[in-house]
Parts: sequence; structure tokens; C-alpha cells
Amino acid sequence: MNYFKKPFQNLHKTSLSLRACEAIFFYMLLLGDRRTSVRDDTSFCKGFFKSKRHARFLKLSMSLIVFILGFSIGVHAQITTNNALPVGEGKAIFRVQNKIIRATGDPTSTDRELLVQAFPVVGVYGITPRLTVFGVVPVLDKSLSLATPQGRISRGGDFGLGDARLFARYDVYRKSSRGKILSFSPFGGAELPTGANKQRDEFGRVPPKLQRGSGSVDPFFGAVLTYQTLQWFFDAATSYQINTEANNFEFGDEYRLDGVVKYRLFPRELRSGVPGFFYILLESNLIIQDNNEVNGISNLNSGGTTWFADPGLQYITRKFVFEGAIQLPVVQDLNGNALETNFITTLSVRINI
Amino acid sequence: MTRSFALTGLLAVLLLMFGLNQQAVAQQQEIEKPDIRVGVDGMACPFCAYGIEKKLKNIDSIEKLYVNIKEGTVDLKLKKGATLSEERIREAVKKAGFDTRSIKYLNEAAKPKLNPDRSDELF
Repeated sequence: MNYFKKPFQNLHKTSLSLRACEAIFFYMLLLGDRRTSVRDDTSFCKGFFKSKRHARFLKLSMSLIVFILGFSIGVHAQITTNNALPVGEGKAIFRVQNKIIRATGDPTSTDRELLVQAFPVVGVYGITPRLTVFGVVPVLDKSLSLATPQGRISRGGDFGLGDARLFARYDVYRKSSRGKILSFSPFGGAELPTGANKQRDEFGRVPPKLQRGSGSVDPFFGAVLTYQTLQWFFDAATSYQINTEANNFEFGDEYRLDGVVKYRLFPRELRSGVPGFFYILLESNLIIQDNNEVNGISNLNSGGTTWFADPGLQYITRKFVFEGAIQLPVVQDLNGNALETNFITTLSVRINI
Repeated sequence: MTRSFALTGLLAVLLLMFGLNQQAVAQQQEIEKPDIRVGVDGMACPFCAYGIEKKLKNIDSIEKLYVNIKEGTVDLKLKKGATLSEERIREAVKKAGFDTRSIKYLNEAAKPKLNPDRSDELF
């Protein structure tokens, strides 16, 4: 069960390509259910990147694989962020996602390795042409593997409902012309304690970070600015989540700054009608989190700053959006021995109803 | 893990089947002689185009429509003998979250003459 181990510890010292490579192989192995050899295959990435030609080939292949996986596995237009595009009165959009988060790089002897697999289902409904409500219900599974004097153990790993998020967005400013739109929308809502937050296993109570839910009602608010043309898409969003206390534990408040640049690759020349648009995109997520608090005392081994760069691909038709992205950490300045994120993959399908 | 993938896949397939079925029914064809050409501002992707299409399709007097995303226009073909007011068109586009740039009657018979309030009904 060494599949999480060494090659990708201290990934902040390694290249983004290598992290992306790890994510791809990880996905493939999960699909093949060959967990035990992840270590070998990820080591293979390192050797492979020594050759420039191989590296170029692998980068291209990775992009294609992510896109193909988007179709074949299936799980919104931006992948990891919100946007301010109009939804329309009475219109509904559903989105199914698959997210995998892997965090390792434990500097302590416990060598913790966290794996989160989330399956969020998102519903969007336009109440008026400017007011839109969103609901996100995740089904997820968090597991932590760690070394103990008695050997390596695994905790968590129960698949079930997580904390749902309900929020509303109001388009306060909108300016449009032929094939262009500029929109600014504040939004606000809350994360609700729908996920289990008192889970226990054979070792006792599961730690708060491994519980599927926080047990608290956590309000959040923010704003998003979107500019879209037929060729380009730009998006900037900021948000703040106030995490509150439950079960004598409080997650640190979270501040986010997100950005998206998207370019239409195909069709190169627009013709009459409504063809499908194929985009290449780059998203960016800056996440700053305060220390968690246990019984009112700050945990110095939690919180910090992470900046992700997320290359991705997106195909949009009138009724569907297929998309995939890999969030790769560019900067991780975490407090104490908090676990570093290796990657977050997102595959998603949206349907216009 | 496998269960999560299976669930994701299953839901995605169901959504695809439902959507492709709808897509087939709703496939657009260019209209040879449209009655009205509506200019819509802000229509910048196929997903947005479908929102406008759906709102306009709710108007009884419209038989067919054709969205041209490059020009930002929607061509409307009305049912035989039907008329459609500018107000009704503007309202539908607004509800879809967009702005009407222009409304051009290519067939004068499509323009309501006597009672604009009842103009979108069949005679």
C-alpha cells in the first residue's frame, strides 16, 4: 500500500508537468483499479520528462486524455470558478462533476496521505433574468493513510453526502453588444451542515478534516466580473467564506481570488448557425485560509496560502458543456505541517434544460 | 472509489441520453424566407444561444427559428396568418437575460396592425 508514497512528496520542488503527469497516471490507475503500482508509474514520469521530445508528447497526450476522460467518465463557463453569464428566467442547468484531490508531502514521520473523491451535483435556476439560484450537493469520500507504530493505517473512506451549498447571484451590471457581454454580479449564500460530522471508525472519532461535513452553517459572499466575446472569455471572481464553530472545531475562514482566460480554438472561422465551441483555458485560484481552531485555540499546523494554475479544455454546444481541468499548485505556503495538495482534477458535464 | 466513478458515469450517460434526445428534436435548420430578423446583443456562446432559442420557442405564433451566433441574430418564421409584436419579442429576449438590438420585419404581414395586445395570436 505504498501507492501514495515518496516520488511526489515535496512536489513544490518539482515541475508542474510532473504534477500533471502524476494526476493523469493516478486517474488511469484508479480507473484500472491498480492502486499498488502508482508509485512505479509516477516514478516513470520523472524519467520520461528527461527527454524533451517525450515531455512534449506527454504534455499533449495528457491534455487529450483529460478531454477524452471528460467524455467517457462524465461526471460548467468555468471549471473551478463561478461566472456572471446570464442564465435566464425559468431556465435550469444541471451539472455533474467528478473531483479528485490528492495531498501528500507530510514533513512529519506520520507520512499522511489524503485522498478526496467528490461527486458534486449542481443545479442552477434563473428566477428572474438577473437573479439566479445555485445548489450544490456533493457526494464524497475522504480517506487518510498514515504511518503509526503499529504499521500503516487508513482512516475515513466512507462514501456519502457532504455539506450542501446554497447561494444566489444577482447581475447588477450588464452591458452587451453584438457577440459581446460584460457582466458584474455579487453573490452570497451558505454552506449547510448536511454532511456527516460525527463519524467514528475503529480508532475513535474521525478527525474534522476527514468528516464529510463540518457541522456548521458557513456563510460566504463574493463578486464575479465576466467579459465574453465570440473568441475570448475573461473572468475574475473573489469570495470570502466565514467558517463557524461546530463540535468544538472551527475551520479557518477562506478567501479566494479566481481568474479565467479562455480562447476558442475551434471552429477557427465562425459560420452561420450555432456550432459547438472548443476552448482551451487557463484558470487561476489563489486561496488563503486562516488557522483552524480547536476549542478556541488556533491550530498552527493548518491554513496558509495556495495558488493553483489550472489548464483545461472545454467543449460547448447548445445543450451541453463537457470540460476537464487539472489544478496544479504553483505556490503552497502552508502553516506548520499542513498537507500540501498535489493536484485536483475536475471532469464535468453540464446540461441546459 | 469504483462506486463513485460508476455513479458519475451513470448520471453522465443519463444526462447525455436525455440531452441528445432533446438535441435531435431541436436541431436547427436555416429558414429560407424568415418573417422577422431579431438582433440580439450579448449572445457569445452556444449555451447562451440555446437560452434565447428556448424563450422564443415558447411564443405560440413562432413556427421555426434559426440562431446565427456570428451575426448575433435570430430568424423567425411564424405560423401561417400569425403576427408577432416587437414588445413580445423584446420581452422574451429580456427574460433570456439578453438585450434586443434590432427587430426587422422581412415580411410585412408578420407585423401586427390593429390590436397589438393580441398580435401574437392566430387569426
